[in-house]
Amino acid sequence: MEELKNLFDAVVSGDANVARTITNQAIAEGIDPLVLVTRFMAPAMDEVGRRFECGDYFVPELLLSARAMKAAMELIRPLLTARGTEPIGRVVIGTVKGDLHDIGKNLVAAMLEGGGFEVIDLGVDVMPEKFMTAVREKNANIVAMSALLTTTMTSMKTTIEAFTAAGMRDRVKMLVGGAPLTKQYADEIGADGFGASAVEAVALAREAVAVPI
Amino acid sequence: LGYGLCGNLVRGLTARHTKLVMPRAHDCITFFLGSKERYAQVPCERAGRYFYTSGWLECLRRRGEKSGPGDATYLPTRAGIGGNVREAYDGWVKKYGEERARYLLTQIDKWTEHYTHGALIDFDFTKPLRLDQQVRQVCAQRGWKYEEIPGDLKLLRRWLDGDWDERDFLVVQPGDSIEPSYDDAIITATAANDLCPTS
Repeated sequence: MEELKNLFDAVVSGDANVARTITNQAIAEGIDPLVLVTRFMAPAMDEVGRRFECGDYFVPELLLSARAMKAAMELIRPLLTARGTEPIGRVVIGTVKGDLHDIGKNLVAAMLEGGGFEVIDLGVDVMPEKFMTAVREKNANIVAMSALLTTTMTSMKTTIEAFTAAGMRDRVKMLVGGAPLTKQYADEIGADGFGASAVEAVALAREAVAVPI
Repeated sequence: LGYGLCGNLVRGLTARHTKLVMPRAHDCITFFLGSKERYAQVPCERAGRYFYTSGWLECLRRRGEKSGPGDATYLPTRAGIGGNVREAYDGWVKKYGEERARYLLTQIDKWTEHYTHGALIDFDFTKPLRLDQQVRQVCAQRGWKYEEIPGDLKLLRRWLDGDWDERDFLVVQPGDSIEPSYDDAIITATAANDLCPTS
Protein backbone atom coordinates (compact mmCIF):
# COMPACT_ATOMS: atom_id res chain seq x y z
CA MET A 1 0.00 0.00 0.00
CA GLU A 2 2.96 2.27 0.74
CA GLU A 3 4.06 2.46 -2.90
CA LEU A 4 0.55 3.56 -3.85
CA LYS A 5 1.46 6.90 -2.32
CA ASN A 6 3.31 7.29 -5.61
CA LEU A 7 -0.06 7.33 -7.37
CA PHE A 8 -1.07 10.29 -5.26
CA ASP A 9 2.23 12.00 -6.14
CA ALA A 10 1.90 11.18 -9.85
CA VAL A 11 -1.52 12.83 -10.01
CA VAL A 12 -0.40 15.86 -8.01
CA SER A 13 2.69 16.33 -10.17
CA GLY A 14 0.76 15.58 -13.37
CA ASP A 15 2.73 12.54 -14.50
CA ALA A 16 0.30 10.49 -16.60
CA ASN A 17 2.77 7.73 -17.46
CA VAL A 18 3.65 6.99 -13.86
CA ALA A 19 -0.02 7.18 -12.83
CA ARG A 20 -0.88 4.61 -15.51
CA THR A 21 1.98 2.27 -14.58
CA ILE A 22 1.20 2.26 -10.86
CA THR A 23 -2.50 1.75 -11.48
CA ASN A 24 -1.79 -1.20 -13.78
CA GLN A 25 0.50 -2.76 -11.20
CA ALA A 26 -1.98 -2.24 -8.39
CA ILE A 27 -4.78 -3.83 -10.40
CA ALA A 28 -2.52 -6.80 -11.27
CA GLU A 29 -1.77 -7.21 -7.57
CA GLY A 30 -5.45 -7.39 -6.87
CA ILE A 31 -5.84 -4.09 -5.03
CA ASP A 32 -9.43 -2.87 -4.91
CA PRO A 33 -9.75 -0.22 -7.68
CA LEU A 34 -12.19 1.77 -5.58
CA VAL A 35 -9.48 2.13 -2.93
CA LEU A 36 -7.20 3.63 -5.57
CA VAL A 37 -9.82 6.25 -6.30
CA THR A 38 -10.97 7.11 -2.80
CA ARG A 39 -7.65 6.83 -0.95
CA PHE A 40 -5.23 8.20 -3.51
CA MET A 41 -6.67 9.81 -6.63
CA ALA A 42 -9.50 11.83 -5.14
CA PRO A 43 -7.28 13.17 -2.33
CA ALA A 44 -4.64 13.97 -4.97
CA MET A 45 -7.16 16.04 -6.95
CA ASP A 46 -8.16 17.77 -3.71
CA GLU A 47 -4.52 18.63 -3.15
CA VAL A 48 -4.25 19.93 -6.72
CA GLY A 49 -7.32 22.06 -6.06
CA ARG A 50 -5.84 23.37 -2.84
CA ARG A 51 -2.61 24.35 -4.57
CA PHE A 52 -4.62 26.10 -7.32
CA GLU A 53 -6.59 28.08 -4.75
CA CYS A 54 -3.35 29.12 -3.01
CA GLY A 55 -1.87 30.31 -6.28
CA ASP A 56 0.85 27.64 -6.32
CA TYR A 57 -0.74 25.91 -9.30
CA PHE A 58 -2.04 27.45 -12.51
CA VAL A 59 -3.96 26.20 -15.52
CA PRO A 60 -1.05 24.18 -16.99
CA GLU A 61 -0.63 22.22 -13.74
CA LEU A 62 -4.37 21.59 -13.54
CA LEU A 63 -4.40 20.30 -17.10
CA LEU A 64 -1.50 17.94 -16.42
CA SER A 65 -2.94 16.60 -13.17
CA ALA A 66 -6.32 16.12 -14.81
CA ARG A 67 -4.66 14.13 -17.59
CA ALA A 68 -2.78 11.92 -15.09
CA MET A 69 -5.99 11.30 -13.17
CA LYS A 70 -7.85 10.46 -16.37
CA ALA A 71 -5.11 8.05 -17.48
CA ALA A 72 -5.57 6.09 -14.25
CA MET A 73 -9.36 6.38 -14.38
CA GLU A 74 -9.47 4.84 -17.87
CA LEU A 75 -7.99 1.66 -16.40
CA ILE A 76 -10.17 1.69 -13.31
CA ARG A 77 -13.56 2.66 -14.73
CA PRO A 78 -14.25 -0.58 -16.64
CA LEU A 79 -13.55 -2.57 -13.48
CA LEU A 80 -15.89 -0.44 -11.41
CA THR A 81 -18.60 -0.66 -14.05
CA ALA A 82 -18.19 -4.43 -14.32
CA ARG A 83 -18.84 -4.94 -10.65
CA GLY A 84 -21.68 -2.45 -10.60
CA THR A 85 -20.10 0.22 -8.38
CA GLU A 86 -22.19 3.34 -8.68
CA PRO A 87 -20.47 6.73 -9.00
CA ILE A 88 -21.34 9.30 -6.32
CA GLY A 89 -23.24 11.21 -8.99
CA ARG A 90 -23.70 11.57 -12.73
CA VAL A 91 -22.94 14.94 -14.25
CA VAL A 92 -23.94 16.06 -17.71
CA ILE A 93 -21.59 18.91 -18.59
CA GLY A 94 -21.28 21.24 -21.57
CA THR A 95 -20.54 24.73 -22.84
CA VAL A 96 -23.89 26.31 -23.67
CA LYS A 97 -25.36 27.09 -27.07
CA GLY A 98 -23.45 29.66 -29.10
CA ASP A 99 -20.27 29.34 -27.04
CA LEU A 100 -17.20 27.42 -28.15
CA HIS A 101 -14.85 27.87 -25.21
CA ASP A 102 -13.97 24.75 -23.34
CA ILE A 103 -10.73 24.93 -21.39
CA GLY A 104 -12.61 25.80 -18.19
CA LYS A 105 -15.34 23.28 -18.87
CA ASN A 106 -12.77 20.54 -19.51
CA LEU A 107 -11.03 21.33 -16.24
CA VAL A 108 -14.27 21.16 -14.32
CA ALA A 109 -15.08 17.84 -16.01
CA ALA A 110 -11.69 16.41 -15.07
CA MET A 111 -11.92 17.65 -11.49
CA LEU A 112 -15.40 16.17 -11.13
CA GLU A 113 -14.20 12.86 -12.48
CA GLY A 114 -11.34 12.92 -10.01
CA GLY A 115 -13.90 13.65 -7.32
CA GLY A 116 -15.70 10.38 -8.02
CA PHE A 117 -18.41 11.55 -10.41
CA GLU A 118 -19.29 10.00 -13.72
CA VAL A 119 -19.03 12.81 -16.24
CA ILE A 120 -20.91 12.91 -19.52
CA ASP A 121 -19.22 15.65 -21.52
CA LEU A 122 -21.39 17.03 -24.33
CA GLY A 123 -18.69 19.38 -25.64
CA VAL A 124 -19.35 22.92 -26.81
CA ASP A 125 -22.30 24.81 -28.35
CA VAL A 126 -24.76 22.51 -26.57
CA MET A 127 -28.47 23.06 -27.21
CA PRO A 128 -30.90 22.79 -24.25
CA GLU A 129 -32.50 19.70 -25.85
CA LYS A 130 -29.15 17.94 -25.94
CA PHE A 131 -28.68 18.51 -22.20
CA MET A 132 -32.16 17.10 -21.58
CA THR A 133 -31.65 14.04 -23.75
CA ALA A 134 -28.36 13.24 -22.01
CA VAL A 135 -29.96 13.57 -18.57
CA ARG A 136 -32.73 11.17 -19.59
CA GLU A 137 -30.44 8.64 -21.24
CA LYS A 138 -27.75 8.61 -18.57
CA ASN A 139 -30.04 9.17 -15.63
CA ALA A 140 -27.85 12.07 -14.52
CA ASN A 141 -28.57 14.05 -11.37
CA ILE A 142 -26.45 17.12 -12.10
CA VAL A 143 -26.29 19.45 -15.10
CA ALA A 144 -23.19 21.65 -15.25
CA MET A 145 -23.15 24.52 -17.74
CA SER A 146 -20.28 26.74 -18.80
CA ALA A 147 -20.06 30.02 -20.76
CA LEU A 148 -17.25 32.46 -21.39
CA LEU A 149 -19.17 35.22 -23.12
CA THR A 150 -21.78 37.68 -21.92
CA THR A 151 -23.47 37.10 -25.26
CA THR A 152 -23.94 33.39 -24.58
CA MET A 153 -24.45 33.17 -20.83
CA THR A 154 -28.14 33.84 -21.39
CA SER A 155 -28.31 30.36 -22.97
CA MET A 156 -27.99 29.05 -19.41
CA LYS A 157 -31.27 30.72 -18.57
CA THR A 158 -32.86 29.25 -21.69
CA THR A 159 -31.59 25.80 -20.77
CA ILE A 160 -32.96 25.98 -17.22
CA GLU A 161 -36.29 27.18 -18.62
CA ALA A 162 -36.34 24.28 -21.05
CA PHE A 163 -35.85 21.83 -18.17
CA THR A 164 -38.68 23.48 -16.26
CA ALA A 165 -40.98 23.42 -19.28
CA ALA A 166 -40.28 19.73 -19.80
CA GLY A 167 -41.03 18.97 -16.16
CA MET A 168 -37.45 17.84 -15.61
CA ARG A 169 -36.20 20.66 -13.40
CA ASP A 170 -36.75 18.82 -10.12
CA ARG A 171 -34.83 15.73 -11.05
CA VAL A 172 -31.50 17.55 -11.53
CA LYS A 173 -29.34 20.11 -9.77
CA MET A 174 -28.23 22.73 -12.27
CA LEU A 175 -24.82 24.30 -11.70
CA VAL A 176 -23.25 27.15 -13.66
CA GLY A 177 -19.78 28.62 -14.06
CA GLY A 178 -17.57 30.66 -16.39
CA ALA A 179 -15.61 33.89 -16.32
CA PRO A 180 -18.49 36.39 -16.77
CA LEU A 181 -20.83 34.57 -14.36
CA THR A 182 -21.77 35.87 -10.94
CA LYS A 183 -23.61 34.37 -7.99
CA GLN A 184 -26.24 37.04 -8.50
CA TYR A 185 -26.88 35.99 -12.09
CA ALA A 186 -26.95 32.32 -11.11
CA ASP A 187 -29.63 33.12 -8.51
CA GLU A 188 -31.56 35.25 -10.97
CA ILE A 189 -31.86 32.48 -13.55
CA GLY A 190 -32.73 29.91 -10.90
CA ALA A 191 -29.55 27.85 -10.95
CA ASP A 192 -28.83 25.67 -7.94
CA GLY A 193 -25.24 26.76 -7.64
CA PHE A 194 -22.44 28.89 -9.04
CA GLY A 195 -18.78 27.91 -8.90
CA ALA A 196 -16.03 30.47 -9.47
CA SER A 197 -13.41 27.78 -10.14
CA ALA A 198 -13.05 24.10 -11.05
CA VAL A 199 -12.32 23.41 -7.40
CA GLU A 200 -15.52 25.08 -6.25
CA ALA A 201 -17.40 23.11 -8.86
CA VAL A 202 -16.44 19.83 -7.15
CA ALA A 203 -17.56 21.14 -3.76
CA LEU A 204 -20.86 22.28 -5.28
CA ALA A 205 -21.46 18.97 -7.00
CA ARG A 206 -20.76 17.07 -3.79
CA GLU A 207 -23.15 19.33 -1.96
CA ALA A 208 -25.73 18.76 -4.68
CA VAL A 209 -25.66 15.00 -4.19
CA ALA A 210 -25.31 15.46 -0.42
CA VAL A 211 -21.82 14.00 -0.08
CA PRO A 212 -19.88 15.46 2.86
CA ILE A 213 -17.19 17.83 1.55
CA LEU B 1 -15.22 54.81 -21.79
CA GLY B 2 -14.25 52.99 -24.97
CA TYR B 3 -15.03 49.55 -23.68
CA GLY B 4 -17.73 46.96 -23.99
CA LEU B 5 -19.02 44.82 -21.18
CA CYS B 6 -16.01 42.63 -22.02
CA GLY B 7 -16.94 39.45 -20.19
CA ASN B 8 -18.28 41.49 -17.27
CA LEU B 9 -14.89 43.12 -16.81
CA VAL B 10 -16.44 46.58 -16.34
CA ARG B 11 -19.08 45.34 -13.92
CA GLY B 12 -19.07 47.51 -10.82
CA LEU B 13 -16.93 50.22 -12.40
CA THR B 14 -17.99 53.48 -10.76
CA ALA B 15 -18.08 57.04 -12.07
CA ARG B 16 -16.71 59.07 -9.17
CA HIS B 17 -16.61 62.71 -10.25
CA THR B 18 -16.83 62.55 -14.05
CA LYS B 19 -19.62 60.94 -16.02
CA LEU B 20 -18.77 57.94 -18.14
CA VAL B 21 -20.21 57.36 -21.58
CA MET B 22 -20.05 53.83 -22.82
CA PRO B 23 -21.56 52.12 -25.84
CA ARG B 24 -24.12 49.42 -25.10
CA ALA B 25 -21.81 46.72 -26.36
CA HIS B 26 -20.72 43.26 -25.32
CA ASP B 27 -17.23 43.92 -26.61
CA CYS B 28 -15.16 46.01 -28.98
CA ILE B 29 -16.35 44.16 -32.08
CA THR B 30 -19.53 46.23 -31.75
CA PHE B 31 -17.43 49.35 -32.29
CA PHE B 32 -15.95 47.92 -35.48
CA LEU B 33 -19.25 46.68 -36.87
CA GLY B 34 -21.09 49.90 -36.17
CA SER B 35 -23.99 48.72 -34.00
CA LYS B 36 -24.93 46.08 -31.48
CA GLU B 37 -27.71 44.93 -33.79
CA ARG B 38 -25.27 44.16 -36.56
CA TYR B 39 -22.98 42.36 -34.14
CA ALA B 40 -25.90 40.34 -32.78
CA GLN B 41 -26.66 39.05 -36.26
CA VAL B 42 -23.11 37.99 -37.03
CA PRO B 43 -22.42 35.47 -34.24
CA CYS B 44 -25.90 34.02 -34.64
CA GLU B 45 -25.12 33.16 -38.19
CA ARG B 46 -21.82 31.56 -37.26
CA ALA B 47 -20.62 30.89 -33.75
CA GLY B 48 -17.14 29.83 -34.81
CA ARG B 49 -15.88 33.10 -36.15
CA TYR B 50 -12.69 34.69 -34.91
CA PHE B 51 -12.38 38.42 -35.62
CA TYR B 52 -9.30 40.30 -36.69
CA THR B 53 -8.90 44.06 -36.99
CA SER B 54 -5.98 46.22 -38.02
CA GLY B 55 -5.49 47.36 -34.43
CA TRP B 56 -5.38 43.82 -33.12
CA LEU B 57 -2.94 42.70 -35.79
CA GLU B 58 -0.78 45.73 -35.20
CA CYS B 59 -0.83 45.66 -31.43
CA LEU B 60 0.64 42.18 -31.33
CA ARG B 61 3.61 43.48 -33.21
CA ARG B 62 3.83 46.67 -31.17
CA ARG B 63 3.84 44.60 -28.01
CA GLY B 64 7.01 43.02 -29.29
CA GLU B 65 5.56 39.73 -30.44
CA LYS B 66 8.05 38.11 -32.73
CA SER B 67 5.50 35.98 -34.45
CA GLY B 68 2.21 36.74 -36.13
CA PRO B 69 -1.29 36.54 -34.69
CA GLY B 70 -1.56 32.87 -35.58
CA ASP B 71 0.86 32.02 -32.80
CA ALA B 72 -0.69 34.05 -30.03
CA THR B 73 -1.96 32.25 -26.95
CA TYR B 74 -4.46 33.66 -24.56
CA LEU B 75 -3.20 32.32 -21.31
CA PRO B 76 -3.75 34.23 -18.13
CA THR B 77 -0.69 36.37 -17.56
CA ARG B 78 -0.52 35.22 -13.96
CA ALA B 79 0.63 31.89 -15.32
CA GLY B 80 3.83 33.76 -15.99
CA ILE B 81 3.63 33.04 -19.67
CA GLY B 82 3.68 35.63 -22.40
CA GLY B 83 1.48 35.77 -25.43
CA ASN B 84 3.76 33.70 -27.60
CA VAL B 85 3.40 29.99 -28.08
CA ARG B 86 7.08 29.34 -28.67
CA GLU B 87 8.09 31.08 -25.44
CA ALA B 88 5.35 29.34 -23.51
CA TYR B 89 6.38 25.98 -24.91
CA ASP B 90 10.05 26.50 -24.05
CA GLY B 91 9.03 27.44 -20.51
CA TRP B 92 6.90 24.30 -20.19
CA VAL B 93 9.71 22.06 -21.49
CA LYS B 94 11.98 23.42 -18.77
CA LYS B 95 9.34 23.02 -16.09
CA TYR B 96 7.57 19.80 -17.01
CA GLY B 97 9.66 18.07 -19.68
CA GLU B 98 9.03 17.68 -23.38
CA GLU B 99 6.20 15.14 -23.38
CA ARG B 100 4.04 17.15 -21.00
CA ALA B 101 4.89 20.41 -22.76
CA ARG B 102 3.67 18.92 -26.03
CA TYR B 103 0.42 17.88 -24.38
CA LEU B 104 -0.12 21.37 -22.97
CA LEU B 105 0.44 22.82 -26.41
CA THR B 106 -2.31 20.66 -27.90
CA GLN B 107 -4.67 21.63 -25.07
CA ILE B 108 -3.97 25.35 -25.26
CA ASP B 109 -4.42 25.28 -29.02
CA LYS B 110 -7.55 23.19 -28.88
CA TRP B 111 -9.93 26.13 -29.01
CA THR B 112 -8.88 26.75 -32.61
CA GLU B 113 -10.53 23.45 -33.57
CA HIS B 114 -13.96 24.75 -32.63
CA TYR B 115 -13.61 27.83 -34.80
CA THR B 116 -14.37 27.61 -38.47
CA HIS B 117 -13.82 31.12 -39.82
CA GLY B 118 -11.27 33.89 -39.48
CA ALA B 119 -12.93 37.19 -40.28
CA LEU B 120 -11.06 40.37 -41.05
CA ILE B 121 -13.02 43.52 -40.33
CA ASP B 122 -11.59 45.78 -42.99
CA PHE B 123 -12.04 49.47 -43.72
CA ASP B 124 -11.20 51.53 -46.79
CA PHE B 125 -8.36 53.16 -44.89
CA THR B 126 -6.86 49.81 -43.77
CA LYS B 127 -7.07 48.17 -47.20
CA PRO B 128 -3.62 49.48 -48.30
CA LEU B 129 -2.10 47.56 -45.35
CA ARG B 130 -3.08 44.31 -47.08
CA LEU B 131 -4.03 42.76 -43.75
CA ASP B 132 -5.96 40.09 -45.59
CA GLN B 133 -2.65 38.41 -46.43
CA GLN B 134 -1.83 38.00 -42.73
CA VAL B 135 -5.29 36.74 -41.83
CA ARG B 136 -5.42 34.39 -44.81
CA GLN B 137 -2.15 32.90 -43.61
CA VAL B 138 -3.52 32.31 -40.10
CA CYS B 139 -6.64 30.75 -41.57
CA ALA B 140 -4.58 28.44 -43.77
CA GLN B 141 -2.56 27.34 -40.72
CA ARG B 142 -5.61 26.62 -38.66
CA GLY B 143 -7.84 25.21 -41.33
CA TRP B 144 -10.33 28.07 -41.06
CA LYS B 145 -12.19 29.71 -43.90
CA TYR B 146 -11.16 33.28 -44.55
CA GLU B 147 -13.78 35.97 -44.81
CA GLU B 148 -13.95 39.71 -44.94
CA ILE B 149 -16.52 41.86 -43.21
CA PRO B 150 -16.76 45.54 -44.05
CA GLY B 151 -16.24 47.66 -40.95
CA ASP B 152 -18.46 50.54 -39.91
CA LEU B 153 -17.27 53.36 -37.68
CA LYS B 154 -20.70 54.93 -37.16
CA LEU B 155 -20.89 54.01 -33.48
CA LEU B 156 -17.37 55.20 -32.76
CA ARG B 157 -18.07 58.46 -34.51
CA ARG B 158 -21.30 59.06 -32.58
CA TRP B 159 -19.53 58.21 -29.33
CA LEU B 160 -16.86 60.83 -30.05
CA ASP B 161 -19.35 63.41 -31.39
CA GLY B 162 -21.47 63.30 -28.26
CA ASP B 163 -24.45 61.81 -30.08
CA TRP B 164 -25.34 59.63 -27.12
CA ASP B 165 -28.74 58.20 -27.92
CA GLU B 166 -29.91 56.22 -24.91
CA ARG B 167 -30.61 53.19 -27.05
CA ASP B 168 -26.97 52.83 -28.00
CA PHE B 169 -25.10 54.49 -25.15
CA LEU B 170 -25.14 54.38 -21.40
CA VAL B 171 -24.33 57.57 -19.54
CA VAL B 172 -23.11 56.77 -16.05
CA GLN B 173 -23.55 59.75 -13.75
CA PRO B 174 -21.11 60.39 -10.90
CA GLY B 175 -22.05 58.13 -8.02
CA ASP B 176 -23.36 55.38 -10.28
CA SER B 177 -21.70 52.22 -11.40
CA ILE B 178 -22.00 49.92 -14.41
CA GLU B 179 -23.90 46.66 -14.14
CA PRO B 180 -24.80 44.10 -16.80
CA SER B 181 -28.53 44.16 -17.55
CA TYR B 182 -28.70 40.69 -19.17
CA ASP B 183 -31.07 41.93 -21.85
CA ASP B 184 -30.87 43.82 -25.14
CA ALA B 185 -29.73 46.97 -23.35
CA ILE B 186 -26.61 45.02 -22.28
CA ILE B 187 -25.61 47.44 -19.49
CA THR B 188 -27.31 49.61 -16.96
CA ALA B 189 -26.27 52.11 -14.28
CA THR B 190 -27.07 51.64 -10.62
CA ALA B 191 -26.22 53.62 -7.50
CA ALA B 192 -22.72 52.60 -6.40
CA ASN B 193 -22.59 50.74 -3.10
CA ASP B 194 -19.52 52.36 -1.72
CA LEU B 195 -18.17 55.56 -3.18
CA CYS B 196 -15.33 56.01 -0.75
CA PRO B 197 -13.81 52.63 -0.06
CA THR B 198 -11.12 52.78 2.54
CA SER B 199 -7.85 52.02 0.94
